[in-house]
Amino acid sequence: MNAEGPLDALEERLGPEIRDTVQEWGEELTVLTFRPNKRGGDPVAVTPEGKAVFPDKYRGGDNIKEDETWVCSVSSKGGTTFFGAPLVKLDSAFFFDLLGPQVSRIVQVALEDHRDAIEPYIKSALDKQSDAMLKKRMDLLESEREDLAAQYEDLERRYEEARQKIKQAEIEVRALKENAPRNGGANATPTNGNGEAPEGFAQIPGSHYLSSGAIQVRRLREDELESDSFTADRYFGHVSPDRRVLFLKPHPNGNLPCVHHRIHIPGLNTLRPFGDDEELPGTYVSKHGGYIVDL
Amino acid sequence: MLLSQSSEDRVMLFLDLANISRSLETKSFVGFRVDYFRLAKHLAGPRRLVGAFAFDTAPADSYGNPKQRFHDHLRYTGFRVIARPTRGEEYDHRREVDTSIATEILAAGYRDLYDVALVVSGDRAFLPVLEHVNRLGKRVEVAGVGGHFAADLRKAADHVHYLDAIPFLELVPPEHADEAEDPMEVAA
Repeated sequence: MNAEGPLDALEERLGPEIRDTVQEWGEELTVLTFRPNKRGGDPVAVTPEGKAVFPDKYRGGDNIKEDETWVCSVSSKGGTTFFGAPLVKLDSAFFFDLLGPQVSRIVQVALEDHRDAIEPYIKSALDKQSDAMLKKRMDLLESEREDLAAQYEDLERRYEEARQKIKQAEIEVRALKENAPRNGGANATPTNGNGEAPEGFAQIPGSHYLSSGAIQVRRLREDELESDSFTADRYFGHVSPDRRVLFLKPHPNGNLPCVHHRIHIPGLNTLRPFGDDEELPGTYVSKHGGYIVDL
Repeated sequence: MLLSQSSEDRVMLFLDLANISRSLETKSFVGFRVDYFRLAKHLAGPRRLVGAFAFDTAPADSYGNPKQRFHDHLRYTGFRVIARPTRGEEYDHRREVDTSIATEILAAGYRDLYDVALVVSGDRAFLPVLEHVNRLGKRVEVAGVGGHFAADLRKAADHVHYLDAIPFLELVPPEHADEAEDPMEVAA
């Protein structure tokens, strides 16, 4: 038996530490599994070279039982009969005591020698593990997708609200631009007389008083109103059925003439009886491009 | 207003002319005429007015009749006037006009031609049809004059417009009383 062959194999399986131990022993070592002897008597093992090895009873061979695997120091008598002195028993306790690198090495050797037999078990285990990981990942992705969908819906709703506000603002800006030339002298102050919109206009859906200003309106006669803000030549006049709101809108085709800031309004006395020289609260409403006068 | 509005809401106006006229008669406005164009624009506000129906009875002798001229005047301003022909004194024309209004509200609602049905009338007779289109998912708004405005109608509506405080009665000096002005210019 070549001394280098089994030592290399042992080193390959159990790591380089075993080489020092073997060198101390100075003998041939091999791993032997002892089987029952068909002829009766002590169990017998067979080396890879096909040599029969019996337990060396002078060197602890009595400890070897059938179906046990030992690291043995093998010696011969006359070159024909071989005896194995047991050194280390390779049982479950031996493998549990192995160090991490030794276990890794054993696994590596086992994989190389018996890949076809081991791989199906590994593949099955890996498949289960990967399926579990895949499911977990898919659950996580689904959860993220739902979160993103909710965020998207929220953004869409906010976008729509913002779009509506922009549209509303555009309408108001357009109204302001259209009415700007007719605004007279009452367009600068962003307030109205009493801080409130006239009742009738407050009911108009979406009506706002973006640019309203208080104006001074004086009633000089039964059917005549005067204000420095009345700068157009003609106006249309509308009243509310409760006779409390008069709306004057400048327009070239208006049927109420205006001369020297005075508008002649036939029937005004039926709406509000004329008293003494009186001041009426008025407001310019840019949204509607005209003046509200509270009667 | 509890419910939100959008400038993209499609508003369809159903105007009961006889009801509004009767409501204003008691207030004795001399020298004024109802500016329906302005009224419609005010009620619709910034929303899209996609249709304006005016319902009335048709005069028996339409040629040169003031009511016929008035209807034509409304048509020029953009209203779709539906005038039911009269059939003698004993016939209740109001019922036919009311049925016509209800039919148009329902038909347009089922054809999804509007989002908001805006009925200008204080007549309680429209309560069933308004409840029905409301269940269709349409918003219902009513407009009327105080004292002639059925409480049940106001309760059923999503929004109520009180016309009393809206300046839509046009001042008409005597020298302009007979002029057939284009009301489009009035509100332009």
